[in-house]
Amino acid sequence: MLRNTFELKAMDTIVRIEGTPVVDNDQWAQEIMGWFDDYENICSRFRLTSELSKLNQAPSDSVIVIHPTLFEILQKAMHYAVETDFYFNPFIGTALKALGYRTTFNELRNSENVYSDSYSFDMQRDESLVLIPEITAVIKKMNIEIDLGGIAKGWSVDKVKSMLLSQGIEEGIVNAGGDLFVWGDTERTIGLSHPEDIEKDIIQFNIRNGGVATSNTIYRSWLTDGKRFHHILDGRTGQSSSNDVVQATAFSINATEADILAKILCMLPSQEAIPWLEKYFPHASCILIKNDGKVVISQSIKTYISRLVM
Amino acid sequence: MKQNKWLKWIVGIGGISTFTLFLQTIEATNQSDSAGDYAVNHSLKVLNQERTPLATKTELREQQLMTLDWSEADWDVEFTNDVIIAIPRAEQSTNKVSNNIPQTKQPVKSPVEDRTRRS
Repeated sequence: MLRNTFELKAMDTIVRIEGTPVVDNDQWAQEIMGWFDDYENICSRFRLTSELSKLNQAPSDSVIVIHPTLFEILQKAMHYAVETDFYFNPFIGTALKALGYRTTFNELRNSENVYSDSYSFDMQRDESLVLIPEITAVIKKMNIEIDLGGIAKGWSVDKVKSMLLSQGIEEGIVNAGGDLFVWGDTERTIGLSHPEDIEKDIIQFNIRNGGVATSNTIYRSWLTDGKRFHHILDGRTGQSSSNDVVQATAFSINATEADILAKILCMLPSQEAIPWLEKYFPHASCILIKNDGKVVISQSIKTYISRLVM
Repeated sequence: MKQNKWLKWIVGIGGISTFTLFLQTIEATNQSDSAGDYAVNHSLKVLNQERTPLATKTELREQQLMTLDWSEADWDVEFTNDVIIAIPRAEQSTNKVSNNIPQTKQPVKSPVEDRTRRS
C-alpha cells in the first residue's frame, strides 16, 4: 500500500512521519512543518523571544496572557506534575541553568566554559502556577523558570498525530527523535536503541498502538566544575538523579505520558521504578536498562507489544 | 464403644485422605496449566504466554499474547509475576560495551525504520 512519508528537522532532532492511506502529501506536510515552526517559537526556553522565555522573565503575581498552545501544554504539564507528586516538575528551568544547562545541548556539549551557579531549590506545589483558562493567562506564584523539555517532544507527537487523523490518516507513526506514537491495524517493528550506540538495537518489538518514549542518563550529561550532571533532574529535589537505571523506555496511551514516565523511571532505583509505575500508572509499561547490564521488563508490556526480540 | 472408637478413626483418616487427594488434584491441574509452551529451535528460545482466547475477532487480537525471543548466547532470562529480567551473559557476548550491556548479534534482528531512543 502506498504511504505518505516525510521527515523534517524540528526541536533539534529529526521528526519522521508516515501514514496511510495516501492523502494530499504537500498540504499536510506544509501544515505540520508550519506547526513545528510555531511550536518552537512558542515553547523553547533556548529562544530568547519565545513565549516561554518571555513568561520566564515576567514577574510573579501578575496576570500574564500567553499563547493558547503554551497554555495548553502548561495545563498538561501541571496535570502531570500533580499526578506524579512533582517527580515530573516543569519548574526546573532555573535548576537546570544553575547546573550549567543554559543553551541547547549541542552547544553545551561543545562548550569549554560550563559553570554552575549556587541555587536553592524550593519544592513547588500545584498552586505554583495559577491557570486562567477563560483568558489563556497564568499567574506565577514563584519566581522560577519553567522548562518543558520533559514533555515537549511527546506532546508534539500527540498533536501531530491528531492533525494526521483529522486529515484521514487512519494508521501511521510519528517519531520525534525517539518519542513516538503508533496507531492503526498494522503492526510495526520498532527498535530500542542501545544506551551507548543509538544506531544499534538492544531490543526490537512489534507494536500496533501506543505511545513510546525513551530517556537515558548517559547522553545528555555534562561536566560542571569537574562534576558530571545529566538533564533528568528529580523534580522533588532539583538534583540530577543517581541510581542504577541508565535507560528507561515507557509505553503508554499517548506519547506525552510516555515521555514523562520515561524520565521519572530514570529518577527511581530499578527496585522502586516498576512498583511505582504499577501503582500510579497501571495502564503503562516499561523496559529498564540497568548499569550492570540487566534489562528489566514489566509484565504489563504484553498490553502494548506482541513480540519482543533481544 | 470399641466399635465407635474404630469408626471415628476410620472416618477421620478417610476425611484426611480425601482432602489430601483433593489438594493433589488441584496442584496437578495447576502444574499442567503452567507447564508452558516452550518451543526451542537451534539458536533461540521462544516463550509464548497465552491467555484464554476471547470471543470476537477484535478481542482475539487484543488478547495478552506476547512472544519473547532471546539469544541464548547473550542472555539468561528469568520470569517473575511482575517482571521479566534479562541478564547479560558477559562471558559469552561479543561487542560488550563499557557498562556490560551486550550488543546482541545483528542477525537476530532485522533493520527497522523507526527506533525509540534517548533524545
